[in-house]
Amino acid sequence: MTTAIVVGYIPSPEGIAAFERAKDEALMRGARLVVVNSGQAGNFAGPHFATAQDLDAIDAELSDAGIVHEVVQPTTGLAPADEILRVVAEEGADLIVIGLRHRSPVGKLLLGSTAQQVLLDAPCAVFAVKAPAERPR
Amino acid sequence: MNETIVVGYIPTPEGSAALARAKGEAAIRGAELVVVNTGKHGSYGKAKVATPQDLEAIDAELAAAGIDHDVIQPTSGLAAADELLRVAVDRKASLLVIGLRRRTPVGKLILGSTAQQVLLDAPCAVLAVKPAPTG
Repeated sequence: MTTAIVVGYIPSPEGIAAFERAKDEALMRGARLVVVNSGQAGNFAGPHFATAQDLDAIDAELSDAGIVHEVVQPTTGLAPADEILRVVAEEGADLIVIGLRHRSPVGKLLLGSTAQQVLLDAPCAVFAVKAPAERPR
Repeated sequence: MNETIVVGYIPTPEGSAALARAKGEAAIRGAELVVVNTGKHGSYGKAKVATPQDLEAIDAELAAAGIDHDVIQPTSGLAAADELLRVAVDRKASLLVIGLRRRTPVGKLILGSTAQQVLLDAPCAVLAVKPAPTG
């Protein structure tokens, strides 16, 4: 039985997809959810760092859904993968959710380094989700 | 409408872990489970063909658990990732389950080619499972 889920969140389509998935999984399993937004290795001004309003909205959404949760924005300066795995260990999480980008039109052949490291070093199962495919214009 | 989960199975610890997890996921979601034993582990790896007894045992286990299922052993000669993706698209899977090996202390720094390709090209979410730690 799943008791705690950790989701790596950044304010991007794939990060949002991961959050939505994590929320669904938490509801389905009656598990608590820890949302981790860690920016990019201490870059607090970068696009991966969610705004306070963004995190408040996430907090409200999870409260409304009745999900026991915590939203954390660590400032340890660790790389995102290390941060996610640190929280997983701390929380004794048994499920991780991360977002992956679609392969680019010229055929991106590698996964991002954060995703790879989380997948390789996770002590538990990892859900890898993508943003819904963009509709052709 | 019924959900479909596809799991890539080979007779290894990680394959068994993926199957066990996929069975659990199918149970909680009331989904149909399609077990795919491709035989080819990666493009160049040795064949990991499950024996007929192995597949029958899986079939019996899923039937006993009351899970709608299909156990297939494609012989198209496609690499494992291509086969899994083909089945996932074909069956309109909502979830793909794959097994990953545990990184050893001096071990691999990157994911295997099958896992990478499945993760990048999957038409749905992918659940990557590892076997329980040994000793």
